[in-house]
Order: sequence, then structure tokens, then C-alpha cells
Amino acid sequence: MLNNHEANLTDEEAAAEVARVAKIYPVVRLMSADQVKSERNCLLAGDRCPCLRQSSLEALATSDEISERLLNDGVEYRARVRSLTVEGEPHVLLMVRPIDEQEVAEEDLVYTDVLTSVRNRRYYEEKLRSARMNAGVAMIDLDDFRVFNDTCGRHAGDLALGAVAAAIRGGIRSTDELVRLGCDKFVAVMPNIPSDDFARRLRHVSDAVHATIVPGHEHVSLTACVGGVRINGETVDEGVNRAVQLLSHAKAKPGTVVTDSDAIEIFQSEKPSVLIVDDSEMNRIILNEMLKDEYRVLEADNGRTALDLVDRYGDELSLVLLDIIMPGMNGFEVLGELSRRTVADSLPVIMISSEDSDDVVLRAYELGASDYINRPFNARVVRRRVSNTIRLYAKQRRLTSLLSQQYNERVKNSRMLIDIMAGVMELRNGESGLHVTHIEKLTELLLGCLVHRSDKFPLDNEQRSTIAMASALHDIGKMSIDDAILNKPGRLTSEEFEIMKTHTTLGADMLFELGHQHAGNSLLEYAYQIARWHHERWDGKGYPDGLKGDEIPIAAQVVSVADVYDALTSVRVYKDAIPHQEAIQMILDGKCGEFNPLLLDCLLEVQDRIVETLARPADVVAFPTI
Amino acid sequence: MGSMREAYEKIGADYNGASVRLMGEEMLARFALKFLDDESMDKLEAAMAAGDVEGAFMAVHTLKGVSQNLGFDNLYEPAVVVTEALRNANTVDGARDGIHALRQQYAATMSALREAAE
Repeated sequence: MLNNHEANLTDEEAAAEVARVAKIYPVVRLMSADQVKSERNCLLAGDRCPCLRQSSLEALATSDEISERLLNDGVEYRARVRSLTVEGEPHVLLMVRPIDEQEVAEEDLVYTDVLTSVRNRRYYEEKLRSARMNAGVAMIDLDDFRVFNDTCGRHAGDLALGAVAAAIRGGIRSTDELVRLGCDKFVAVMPNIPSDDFARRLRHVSDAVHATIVPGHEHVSLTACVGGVRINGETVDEGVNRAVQLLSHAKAKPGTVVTDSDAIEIFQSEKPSVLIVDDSEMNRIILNEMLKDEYRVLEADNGRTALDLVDRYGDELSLVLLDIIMPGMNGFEVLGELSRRTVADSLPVIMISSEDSDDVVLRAYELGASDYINRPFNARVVRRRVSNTIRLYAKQRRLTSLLSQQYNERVKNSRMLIDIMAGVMELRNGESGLHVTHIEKLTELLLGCLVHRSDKFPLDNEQRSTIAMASALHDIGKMSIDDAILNKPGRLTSEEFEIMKTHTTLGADMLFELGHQHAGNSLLEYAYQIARWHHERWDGKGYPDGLKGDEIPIAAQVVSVADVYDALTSVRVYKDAIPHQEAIQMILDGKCGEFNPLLLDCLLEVQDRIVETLARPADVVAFPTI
Repeated sequence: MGSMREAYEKIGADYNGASVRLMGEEMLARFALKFLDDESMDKLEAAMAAGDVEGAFMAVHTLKGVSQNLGFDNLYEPAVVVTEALRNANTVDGARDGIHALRQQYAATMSALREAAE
């Protein structure tokens, strides 16, 4: 074998060399430098593998042997290009052979990312990084993936990556390369792709990622930012670097797709808005000039106008730059007004002033300013602070929505379990399928009114909805009552009634026993109180414990009123439904026992809303039993 | 742009510092020329004449901020003196001494800027 590329071969020696390598390579061609440059179809697959022309020129220039993989008509080939000198003229020897399956399999294994089955970093480093070509190169970066990983767990994160990789793969051509470059970063290389097709495919990729469903986390929607650039004979690595830069702009907003051809317009239309509030026109001009390239700048020369603009633009505003000393309303007053508005939590304010005594700075922070910029302005500092603050707030907004999504999902799950249990109980009790729902609504209404009327029960939103949820289990003890008694048409004997009464203690015991692993859980504690004491009465004449007045926990007091009202207004095996007005009057008159007078006031106050909420006809007979 | 540098140097203002802070010499020249339209000195004089302490304080405070931003150190220093004389004051009298120096520097700055503008 002739290893010395410098050696000058005769025509005969060259022919012998061609014959020798032809035993291994089915396709062999010896071409002069001129042929490489001029012959249109000098390459093995005509114009379809121009990279080999590039490689030939490279081999000629560097005297290196070049080896690469080609894909043609679905078959992969190993191509080698070696430079030689024949009769004093520079030549290249092209050798091509199909890659056999085993070779492919072995190579694939080494170069495949275990998690996602796309190419791995090693493949990028060894095969792609320094390859020169004409191609579209895209960087695909998942938004907030670390948060997803941290909140949903590693396993979910791995599933998500696999699903995302499949989604991206589906959006690009089968001949394109896809590499997982880092944890949540992918690079797609698309040789010889036309510009419009490139942009279109990148949007497909972004849409596909957004549509990705992570098994077990169906409520989470993933997004990726995509930055795409075109390389024309540059290395893939140069392309990736440019794509990363482009992406750093796109990252302002999740799910953004930018390519170098449309980057400028996209930034124009999606610039975040910044409001400058300063009484000095000079200062506004300077700040505007510093920020206008990257932001849409709004100006106000006084506090009143500033607040009007905040009201008008609302969520569209990304940041306010606020001067402290201004005639009329000063910056502190504007801050105070802003904090009363709902946008305040998501709208960062950076104070500007030369009043840089610590007191002034501290006061600004206390009033909710996010940051503080001193005069004289330094363009780079101003820009950096503005962009950092905007990014931070944008991130915080995304996190908040992610967390609330997950929180709501959890609540929905517990809700569902309770609904199932309540449904089972109702089936057994033969009660209206709506009883549990009604009790819950009534409990919520009464509690809402109660905390308004009295500060004796400082129950926050969370506690009130927990009590309402727990009310669904108030009759859980009836599960253990004999069916003959539970569903007996007509009046119970006093003996039967005594048994029936035990549903309170039975229910409480069940919750206590079955829930012992969850001691301290507020839902369980409320459920226990409600189950045991929802038949107690204010005057101590209820059961099972004969508790009196405020000895009865408030949760149980409220549910007892709700229970009585719904029982009266519903059809039961032993009675017809009583109209709303009459039922209220019966309760007020003590026909169903004594209740906390405060709760009776509440019942009166919310009675119209009860009719509305429960769709209870005010004075006609209500729902038949199921 | 040489003429703007000369204007700054003539009045003792900080040309190099300001041009670094404000995105280069070209931008600085644009900003500095805008100062010719700035009304805060006129507002200050009017408020002083009317004995309006709060108005005078606002005006000189703005003038102080603008001159600081533009690197007009010569103007910034007397503006600080007048600002402090008027802060929480009941009358404008305390600022009468300081305002002479401010007027002088203001006149020098304006004439240097006008020259640069030609």
C-alpha cells in the first residue's frame, strides 16, 4: 500500500493502485484536480453528495486522507478520499463501499444516546463538529427543563427527554442528523435544506415539542426555543455557536423559533415593553436611546400618566423605570399606587435617582422596587439590569404557573377520590346523588358568610375549602349501618333510631383508624369532627356526645345546618321535599333542633344564593330520588 | 466629533467618562446637544423669582441629574449646592449665593455647546 501521498506515481502504478483498492471498494475513481473542479458529475452520486467534492478539494489542499459516511437512496456508504500525485499532477482517489449491517450496528451503539436513541455528544465531537457543509443547523433548547426535573422527578424528566427527542425526530427529515448535545439541548443538522423548508421544519419541531405528552404528567406542557442558522461551507460547530447566540435572544419567551433570516423581524414584533417615568425629557431621551434596540419603549413625564399607562397596557408591560423626584406625584407615591394594582406582583420596577442615601434606597426596596439604578447612567449597566430583571420575572411567572398547574392537579386527584367515596356512600344510602355536592356548596356559602360576620373564626380560603371538601365524608359511618335500617321506608323504631345514631361515632372511628397514618392532616381532622358531631345541637340536645355551644367544632356546626337544610329540601324514602322558604323557616323556628344563632343569621343572609347555587326551586317540590 | 471634546474640555466636563457610559462619542454628542433645549435652568430661574421653593427644588434637582448624566461635572457641582440649599427649605433665600456659580457654569456650558453645534 502506498502511504506516501507525496510519492509521484506513474500511470501504470496508479492503475495498479486502483485495481488493488477495487478489491475492497466496489466504486473507485481516480480523478485529477482539474476533473474534481470542473467535472459536474465527478462525484459518485452526481450533485447529491457535493460534500464529497468538498472533501476532494480538501484532500487536495491538505494531502490528508478523508473518510466519511454518505447516505444515498437509503443505503449508507463509507467513502474515503486520498490525494496522490500521478505523473506530476495532483489527483484524488475516491473509494466508496456500502457499510455492512454489523459495522453500522457497532458504530450506532457507540454513537447513540441511551436515553433518547438519537446521536450522542461523542458522535458530535467525532463526526459532526468539524464537518464543513451546506446545511441548516438548529439548536433546540427545552424551556425550564430543570424545573420540570426537580418538581416531577428524574424519572419523569427522562421520559420527557425521550418523548421530546422523538417529537423532534418526527419534525425533521430522515436524512438529517439529530444529536443530544447536553442535558436538555439538541442539535439538528439538515444538509442542503432550502431556506423556507428549514424555517418551516423548525416551527414543526417547536409545535411537536409543545404537543409532546409526558406519560403520567399529561397536564405539563413542554416548550422549546429553537435557534436556526445556515452554514455554507463553514463547520457545523461554527453553525452551532451562532445558533446558540441567536437562541440567547429567543429565550426571552418560551417556545420561540428564530432563524438568522427572520431573526430581526421577530425581535421587532416580540420586543418586551418598558415604561420610562421621568420628568426630565433629557433623561428619558438618554434611557430611550439605551433601550430602544431591544425593547419597545413607552414614556411618561409624570406619575399620573405612568399609572394610566400601566392600567392601559397591563400585562404587556415588562418593566418600569421610575424616577424618584418628580413634581406632582413622586416615585414613592407611584410605587405605592402600583402596589395596589393586581399587576404589581408581576411588574418589576427599577428606581432611578441620584438620591443615593441609604434611606432613600431602602425606602424604595420596602415599597416593592426590584432594583435601583444610580445616576449617572451607564448604558451597559442599565441594559444589563433591565434585561436581568425582565428575565427573572418572566422565569418567575413561568414557575408560578407550572407550580399552580401541579398543585391544582393534586387537588383534583384528592377531590376525585373523595367524590368516589361519597358516590359509593350515596349509592348505599339511597340518597339523592346530589346530597354530598349540596352539603359542600352550602358549607362553603355558610363559612364564607361566617368569616365576614365574625372574627371569632379566622378561617382562610384554604381552610374553608378543606372543610367543604371534608363535609363530603360526613355520613361515612352509614356504611356500617344495616341496610334494613338505613333504607327502611317509614319511621324507625326507637331501637332502630339508636342504631342509626351510631353512624356518627362509627364514621369518626373509621376515619380515626383508617387515617392514622395521616395524623395531623387537616382534611382528615375536619372530616373526623364533622362525621362525629354533625348531629350535635347548640343546646346540647344532639348526639352522640351532647356537646353544647362552641364545644362543637365550627366545621361540624356549619355542616349540621347544611345537612338539615338539604335533608328538608330533598325527597327521602320517608318524606317529600319541603320548599326552600318553608325549610328555612323550620330551621329558624328550631324544628330541627337549636343551632348557633350566628349561623342562623348566616343562613338568612345567604339564602338567595343557596337557591341560585343549588338551583333549588324556591317553593316547588324538588328533585325525585335516584 | 472633535469639537464636542473641545467643548467638554473647555468647560471642565468629563468627556471620556461620559462617552464610555453613554454608548460612545457620537451618541454623547447627540445627547449633549439636546441639552440646549433643556428647560430646567429657565424653570429654576422662574421659580426663584417667584419664591417657589418646591418648584425651584424640582428644577435644580432635574438639572443636577441631567448634568450628572451628561458628565457636565462643572455644572453638576454647583447644582448639588443649590439642590441641598433648597431641600426641605422654607424660602428660596438660602440658594441665592449658590445660584451665582450655577449661572456662570450654565452660561459657559451653553456657549461651549453652541459653538460645538455650529
